[in-house]
Amino acid sequence: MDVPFGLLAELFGRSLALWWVILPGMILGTIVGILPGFSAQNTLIILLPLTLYINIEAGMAFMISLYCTTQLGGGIPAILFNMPGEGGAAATVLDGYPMTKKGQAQQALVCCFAASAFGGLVTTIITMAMLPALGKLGLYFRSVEMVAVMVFGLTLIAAIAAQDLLKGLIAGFFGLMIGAVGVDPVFGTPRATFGFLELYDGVPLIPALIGLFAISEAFVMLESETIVRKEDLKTAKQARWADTLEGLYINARYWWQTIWTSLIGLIIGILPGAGATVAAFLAYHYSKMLSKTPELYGTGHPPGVIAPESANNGVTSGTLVPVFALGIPGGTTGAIMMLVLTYHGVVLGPRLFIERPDLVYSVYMQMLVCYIFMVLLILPMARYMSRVVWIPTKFLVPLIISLVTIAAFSEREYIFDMGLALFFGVVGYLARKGKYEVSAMLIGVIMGPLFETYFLRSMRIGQGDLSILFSSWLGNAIWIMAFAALFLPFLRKRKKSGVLAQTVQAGHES
Amino acid sequence: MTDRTDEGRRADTREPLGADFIIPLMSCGLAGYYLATTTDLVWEARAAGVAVGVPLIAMCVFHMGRTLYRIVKGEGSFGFGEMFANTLFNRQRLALGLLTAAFIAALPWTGTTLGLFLVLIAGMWTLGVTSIRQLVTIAAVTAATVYVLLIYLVNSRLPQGPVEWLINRTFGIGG
Repeated sequence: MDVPFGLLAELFGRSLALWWVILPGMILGTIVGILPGFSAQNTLIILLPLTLYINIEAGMAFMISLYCTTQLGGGIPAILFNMPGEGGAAATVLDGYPMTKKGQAQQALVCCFAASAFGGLVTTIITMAMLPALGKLGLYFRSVEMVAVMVFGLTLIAAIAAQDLLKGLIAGFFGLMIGAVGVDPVFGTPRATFGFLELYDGVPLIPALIGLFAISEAFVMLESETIVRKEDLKTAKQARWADTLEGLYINARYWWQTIWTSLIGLIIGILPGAGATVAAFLAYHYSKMLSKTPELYGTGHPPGVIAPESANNGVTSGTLVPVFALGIPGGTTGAIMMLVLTYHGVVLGPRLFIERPDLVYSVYMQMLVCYIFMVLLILPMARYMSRVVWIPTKFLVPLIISLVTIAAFSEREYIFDMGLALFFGVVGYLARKGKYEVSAMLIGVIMGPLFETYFLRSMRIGQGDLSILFSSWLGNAIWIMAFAALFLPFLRKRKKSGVLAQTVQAGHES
Repeated sequence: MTDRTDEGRRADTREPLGADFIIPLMSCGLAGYYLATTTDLVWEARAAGVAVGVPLIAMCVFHMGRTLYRIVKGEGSFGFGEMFANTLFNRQRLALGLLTAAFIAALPWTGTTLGLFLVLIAGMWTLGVTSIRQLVTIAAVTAATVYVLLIYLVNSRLPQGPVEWLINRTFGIGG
C-alpha cells in the first residue's frame, strides 16, 4: 500500500489543531506515569465517559497523548528515586538511579525524555508506513511462539545477574515462584495462597513493584542525608541548561541505539500480552549485550536509560496495530480504544484501511504530534524536576513510604494490597542487603503468570507433548535467539578475560 | 552518598554471611509450601510450580552449601553485620515499618486523610524533623493533596474516616 503523503500532511495540520486535548492528556499522562499504581488503562477507563462524549478525533487524541506520556512519566521516579512509576520503567532504574546518585539526574531525565520522544517518533513513522503489513505479524504468534518469547524474556534474569549468576537465578526463580501463586489458568484451583482470598488472582503486580523497588529503596535511602552523594551534591545543585544540552548530546550519540531498541518495543507491542515491561528489559538486555562496554551498565551508563525508554515508547505505537489491522485488542489499552472507536460506529479490521484510511492515519499523526509536543514542553522541565533529589531524606522517606503505600491500593482497591506492598518492601530490603537483584525478582513476578498461561495452552494443544514447543520455524528461531542471549555474554566475558590474561601474561614476559 | 555517622562498628574482620541465607530460606519455604499443598492437583495445575520450584530448591541448597563451606573455611561468619544490629538506622527503619503497618491497620477507622497526616508527622519525627511548623505543614499539604486528587476528583474507594465525613457534612462534597 502506498503512503498517502497528501492525506498525511492534511492530518498533521488537523492533529496540531487538537492541541487543546493533547496538552491536558499529556499533563495527566505525566502525573499518572509518575504515580506508581496508576496505570494509563485505569485512567482511560475512568475518563471513558469523557472520551465517548467528545468527537472521535478529539477523544482519540486525548487517549493517545495520555497513553504515550504515561510511559515517559514512569521513568521520572525511576530515575529520581529508584522506583518505577510504571512496569515499563522498571528497567530504567538500573542505570537511571545510579546516574542520579552521581549528580547527573538532569542528564538522565533528558536522556529518558529524548529517547522516549525520539523512539516514539521513529516507531510512529515506521508504523504509518507499514501499518497493513505489521498488522499481520500478530497472526504468526500463537501460544507456541509466545512460550519461546517468554523464555526469551526470562533470559534477561541471567543478563541482570551477571555479577553473581547463582544469586541472580535464585532471585529470578523466587520471583517466578511468587508469580505461580494464585489459581491456575486452566482449572481455577488455588495454589499456595496461604488461605488469602485476595491472592486467588495471583500476586498483584503493583504492590510487588512498589514494595520491591520503592519501599525497600526508601529503607536504604534513610542512611543518607540526600539521594545525591555528598561529593556530587554541589555539581547537582549547579544544574544548568548546559546539562540539558549535554543530555541531548548523549542521546544524539546513541541515535542508532534509540532506533533499534524502539523497534524492539514496536514488535513486542504488536504481540498480545507481552507489554512495555518485557520490551524495556529486552531492549536493556540487547543494548548491554551488544555494547563494547557492557561492564558500565548498572553503574549509571546513559545507554542503559536510553534503551528501555525508547523501547517502552515503541510499544505504544505497536499496541494499536492489531486493533486497526485485525480488530483484536492486544491489551487493555487497545481494548479501551477499540471500545471508543466501535462506539462511534467504526468497523475495525483489514477493510478499515480501504474504507477509513484517514481515521487510521489520523490516530498515528496525533501520536506524532504528541511526541513533538513532548520534546518542546517536557524536555526543558528536566532541569527543575532534577531538583527534587536535593530534598533531605528525612522528609522524602516518610513521604515516599506513605504515598506509595496508598498507591498500592489503587490497582484492585484492597487494603490487603497495601500490606502486601509493605511485605514486599521488607523482602526487597532483605534482598538488597543480601545482594540479590530485585529487578530479577520482578521479572519473575511479571513473566511467571504469562509464561504459565502460554505454556499450558501449548501443552493442551499438543496433548502433553513437549515437542510442540519446537514445532514452528518462527518459534525455533526465537528459541535460538534465547539461547544466544543466554550464552553470548558469558562467551564474550571469557573471550575478554582470555585476551586480558594474555595481555597481562605478555606484559610479565616482556 | 552523604553518610551520617553511626556507632557500633564490628571488630570481627570475617565477612558476615548470615544475610546470604535469608532469601534462599524464604525461597525454599515458598517452593516447599507450594509443592506440599499442590500434590493432589492435576499435572497442568502444578506444572509451572514444579518446573520452577524444584530447580529453585536445588539452587538454594547449593548456594547455602557453598556459603556454609566458606564459613567453615573461616572466610566468613554466621553474623549479619549491621543488618539487625541496634543502630540508629535500624531503629528508624523498624519504627517506619511499624508505623506503616499501624497506618494500614488503622485505615478503616482513621480514614485516608487523617491516617496519612498522622503517619507523616510520626515518620518525619522519627527521622529527626523536630520543627512543629514543618511537620504540620508538610503532613497537612500532602494529606490535603491526596484527598483532593484521589478521593474528591478520582473518586477512588480509599477508606474514609472522620475528616472525610466532616468535609462531606460541611461542604456537601466528597467521595
